[in-house]
Amino acid sequence: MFKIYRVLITQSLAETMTYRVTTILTALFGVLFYVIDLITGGVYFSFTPTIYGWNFLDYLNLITTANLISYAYQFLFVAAHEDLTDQILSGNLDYSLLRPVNAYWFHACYRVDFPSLVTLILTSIIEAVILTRLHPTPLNLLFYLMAVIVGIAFVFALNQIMVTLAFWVDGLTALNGIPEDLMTASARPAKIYPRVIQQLFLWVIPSLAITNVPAQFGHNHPTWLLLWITLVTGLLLILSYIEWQRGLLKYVSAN
Amino acid sequence: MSAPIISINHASFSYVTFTKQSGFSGAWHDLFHRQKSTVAAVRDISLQVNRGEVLGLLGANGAGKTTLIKLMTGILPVNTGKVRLFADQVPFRKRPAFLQRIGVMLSQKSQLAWDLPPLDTLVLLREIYHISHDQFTTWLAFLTKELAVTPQLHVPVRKLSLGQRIKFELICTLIHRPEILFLNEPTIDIDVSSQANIYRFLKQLNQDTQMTIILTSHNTKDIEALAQRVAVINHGRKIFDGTTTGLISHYATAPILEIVTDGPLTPLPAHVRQVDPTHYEVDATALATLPVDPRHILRVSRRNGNLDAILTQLFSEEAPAQ
Amino acid sequence: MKYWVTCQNALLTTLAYRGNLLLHLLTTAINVLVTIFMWLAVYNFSGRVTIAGIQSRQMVFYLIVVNVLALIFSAEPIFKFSGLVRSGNLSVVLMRPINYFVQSFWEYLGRAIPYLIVYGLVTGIISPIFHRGLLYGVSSLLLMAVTYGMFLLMITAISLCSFWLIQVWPLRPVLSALFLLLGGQAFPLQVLPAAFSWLIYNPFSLAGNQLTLLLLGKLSLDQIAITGGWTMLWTVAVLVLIKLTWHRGIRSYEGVGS
Repeated sequence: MFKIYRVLITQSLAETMTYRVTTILTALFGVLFYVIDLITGGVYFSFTPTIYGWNFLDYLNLITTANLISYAYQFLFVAAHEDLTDQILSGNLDYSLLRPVNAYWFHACYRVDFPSLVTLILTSIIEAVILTRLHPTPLNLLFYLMAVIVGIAFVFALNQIMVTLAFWVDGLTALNGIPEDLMTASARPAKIYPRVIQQLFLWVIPSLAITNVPAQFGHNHPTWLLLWITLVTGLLLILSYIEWQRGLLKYVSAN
Repeated sequence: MSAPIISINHASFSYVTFTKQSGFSGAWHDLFHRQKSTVAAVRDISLQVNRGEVLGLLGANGAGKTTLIKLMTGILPVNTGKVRLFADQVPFRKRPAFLQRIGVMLSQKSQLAWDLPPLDTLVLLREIYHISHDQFTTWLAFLTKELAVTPQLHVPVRKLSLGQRIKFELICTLIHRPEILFLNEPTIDIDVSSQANIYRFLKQLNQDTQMTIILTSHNTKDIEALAQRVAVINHGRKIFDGTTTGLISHYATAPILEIVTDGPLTPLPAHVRQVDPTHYEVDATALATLPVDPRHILRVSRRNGNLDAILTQLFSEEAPAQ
Repeated sequence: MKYWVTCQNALLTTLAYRGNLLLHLLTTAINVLVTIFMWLAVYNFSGRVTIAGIQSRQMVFYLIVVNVLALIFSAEPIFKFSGLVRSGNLSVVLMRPINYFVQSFWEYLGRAIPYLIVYGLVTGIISPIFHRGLLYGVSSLLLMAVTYGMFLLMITAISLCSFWLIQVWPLRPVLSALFLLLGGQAFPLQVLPAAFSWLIYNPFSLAGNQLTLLLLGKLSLDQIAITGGWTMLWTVAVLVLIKLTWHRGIRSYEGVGS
């Protein structure tokens, strides 16, 4: 499996080199929207020093961590997910069904998106700077990293579930944008939302927890929610796997 | 005789489709109720194939050939009936050991990465099928040489001609030396010389390695060039199974001979009808010998006596009642 | 009549992908809600009643309206036009006995009808602009119409890049970023320090920021006049640009011989 992944990564890189301009532009736009987030954050905090106990630096830590999770997902999986959507919709999965490899992981890892690696590295550097200012304890730093990894898995599972829905519903490609919207909306302090929304997105679909938990570890506010999001993420991964297998059963290629 | 390598017993498969309605009210209606309908693609087909055989599946578009291939390769599950390969393998279970032994080429679906040279896809397949580097290199060199595409190995797929692309699709299918090769419309839309090249190569491969080949096509040339045996599929049913000549003699009903001569026949022999000065028709129903001087014959053929004519006639017949 | 069919078809296309339309609206709604809650928290913790002359309730309306406007002022014609140039179908379209630009106006209108209905409803329900006398009402409507025309022309002008650019998709994120930041979609431009006040006369702000403020009754007759003046100015500038580039573009397009 590892050898196959290495080949896939090499191929992604080769493809990226074919479209160098696209790569540069995509990286630039990633940075552009991050900068817009920063400016908007700056505007908010120009009127008040803290919001629900979060100061500007905490807030920066939150949105940067959220971006870190998004970009890591994008680097590792987004190109594969886009490809998978196309393959399902055009009924082109037949070949993958005929290979002696696990098709779920093969498609999930089919391509990495090198343009996002640029933004991922940039965001990581910024986050590292922010963390040195926030001084998390070594243990909290470790939990911070763990929470980020769980976050990436969470975003992956959500997207995988949405993409696989294409087996049943066609013409709803906009569905694939939902996890991204959800994660964008979650890149804010949980407390700004009304109670019901908070509970819903901390516990049921814990997208707010996914962004808030690592940020809290970052400024030394540890939370048990980390356990919960790990559990939910595990369940979502299993769910996406079952959905994939059901989807294959449903799959009747267009002939 | 050994057990057949492919054995299909009373296999059926049907799928569900949705119909879309046009216009504004149609779109509105579709929003709430979508019209479902079931299409029987394969109905009660039984078929045995022996090791080393080349079987041609003939049929019009939508006759069920591709579905049958998908049932045999395990892309689709049978609704009823049984499909077994290599005596005991159920294709739809897709055991890796089973997948390792079959090679499938589906037309209009590509396994080649569009922006990369074919070699990249092949390297990926090498890893997927656990082929050793030495074996891979020699076998690949052989395949590309035989199919005359060695120089194109490093050219991005999008820059290849259709014929070259099809040849690489074929190489991808053969790279792990499968025991059964399934080819779905392999030579669709490609030029005659590439076609001839592919036929020659496949024939040789079949002879040298005893590779079993299942070939579907609605191009009778593919079939005549390769297949020792044909099965004709129409509206999901198998309506003939035998040799190509058997197929012709089975369906060429009226024994009317068309004769082309080097000049007008005078006087006109009995049982012969003149179409134009050098074309004649003979009703051979009651004849033991040809009533025309052989020295003047350029060509004799039996009307309704070629595969194309028979198939056109067969496929234009109405669908049987459900 | 033939243009009306174009308009109808565009509307039908939007509706045919109703799933996508609904999800698009949902996405917008989520984004608006996030921004609204963030601003409410800012009002709450800053202890201010108004920020840049806008009360918290008005800020909520502002954010809703400006986001609907962002949907109305779509950049879609750029990608349609680029498709025509790339596929070589532009020649076919140009040979038809209709004016491409007029057609594209109707298409633009048709596509935006669902959003325009939302916008119209919001205007009818919350906007004070029709209670301020005939002159105010008429000049408001006029400003909306002029802005709509200006923005379409600007998009058209940008779409002419397709004659020279191989890929135009990068324009999509750039334009949405511009609308977000310069159009007042992320926050009203009035909250920026006074040194940035000139920003409100950029075309994105005229379409987003200013039209929203108009709807909230935050623009005086004078301000409407100034905004209208800038809109006209941009219109003229863009028209000149189109005139200049169109002929060159067509020449380079035909030069390719597609």
